[in-house]
Amino acid sequence: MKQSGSTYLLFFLTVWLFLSGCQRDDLCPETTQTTPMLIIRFFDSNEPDQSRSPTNLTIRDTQRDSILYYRVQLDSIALPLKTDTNTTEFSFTINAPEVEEEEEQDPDDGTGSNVLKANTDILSFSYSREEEYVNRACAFKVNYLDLRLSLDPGEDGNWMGTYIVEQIEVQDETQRHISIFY
Amino acid sequence: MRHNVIFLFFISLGALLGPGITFAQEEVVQDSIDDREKYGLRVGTDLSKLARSFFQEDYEGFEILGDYRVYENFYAAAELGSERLPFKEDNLSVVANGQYIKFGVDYNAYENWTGMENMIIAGLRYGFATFSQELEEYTIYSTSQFFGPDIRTDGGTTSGLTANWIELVAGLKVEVLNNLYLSANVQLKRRLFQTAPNNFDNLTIPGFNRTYDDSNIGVGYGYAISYLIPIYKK
Repeated sequence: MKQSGSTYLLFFLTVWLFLSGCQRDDLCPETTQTTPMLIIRFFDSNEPDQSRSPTNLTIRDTQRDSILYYRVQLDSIALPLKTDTNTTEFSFTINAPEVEEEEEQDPDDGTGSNVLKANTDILSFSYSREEEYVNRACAFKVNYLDLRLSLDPGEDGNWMGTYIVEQIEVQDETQRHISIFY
Repeated sequence: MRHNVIFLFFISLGALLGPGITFAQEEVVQDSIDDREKYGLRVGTDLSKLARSFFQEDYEGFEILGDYRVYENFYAAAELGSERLPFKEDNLSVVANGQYIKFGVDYNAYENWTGMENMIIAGLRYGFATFSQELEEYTIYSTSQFFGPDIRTDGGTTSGLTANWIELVAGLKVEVLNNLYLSANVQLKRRLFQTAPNNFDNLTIPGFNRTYDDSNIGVGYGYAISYLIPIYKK
């Protein structure tokens, strides 16, 4: 009786020690869907099924003038939307010059071709927000609902053509949310 | 003739008294050690919770416990407590405030020598808690750092939460002074049911301690001092 008592205690202590050290929830894994980014894909206006990559695309946050994408050639981009307010605004500059050259840019480079001239369009995204609990490590995510956007071509006209809001609810990043044709 | 009568008298006296004297010598000497064991109600308080209340700023807790020896090695046991339990992770900070009760059975797996009253405890409990949980601070998690962190403090408090669980207890209880006991135990818990806040979860429960994402398991410990009020001996 005395022998089995201490064996029981030892076994129990081992299990207990193991479990009390468990910290499985510590890190939020990349695979867990947290606050989604807005996925935008560019297509050719003339061939709507065909993806197209704008040349030297620079995307900036208009409020702080910080650069999100710098002169990239991508047909698909991911934009973070603000989680603490209902609107986010980005400027999309096609054929963006290198930052040092901006001051010296000649508005008329003589070629007459739209492809080489820089053009900035401003997209304003508006939405309502919904907080959702994920788990102990990742805490909460925001889902963006009722997504709308408006386009401000600016003084240089618009380089973007039409756009389609494919999903008005942004909850994950499995499919694109907006298609832009140019 | 008179000498014969007197002689006969003394012999008969010896015959009568003799056996009486021999019987007195064969009688068993009564053992002066009392091998009966004490039965009574034992009440106490958890010292680890008192110490933690003193040293940990955001924790407050108090537990009273008791057990009653029902039969030989079996005790009916119960604990009653109140806790203000904080829980912090990287992206979450909550405080649970509430009361709990646990009751069940303790089995003494230790064979005491005469006059000793120590225990190796193997116990079972059913626990129940009612509490409220305040979400003090939480992060809106995003893989992009572009707009900086969004940390909110408007979580609010959810009250009327409940949880119940079963528990395995393993411990030691030692009589240090007459009728005064010190005990230490560890607990393995399995949560059964709970009511949780809307769009959230119970991250910590008074009496149960912290909970986990994908399991019902919990652990705990206790360190207590208690006093035996003796009622009878058996």
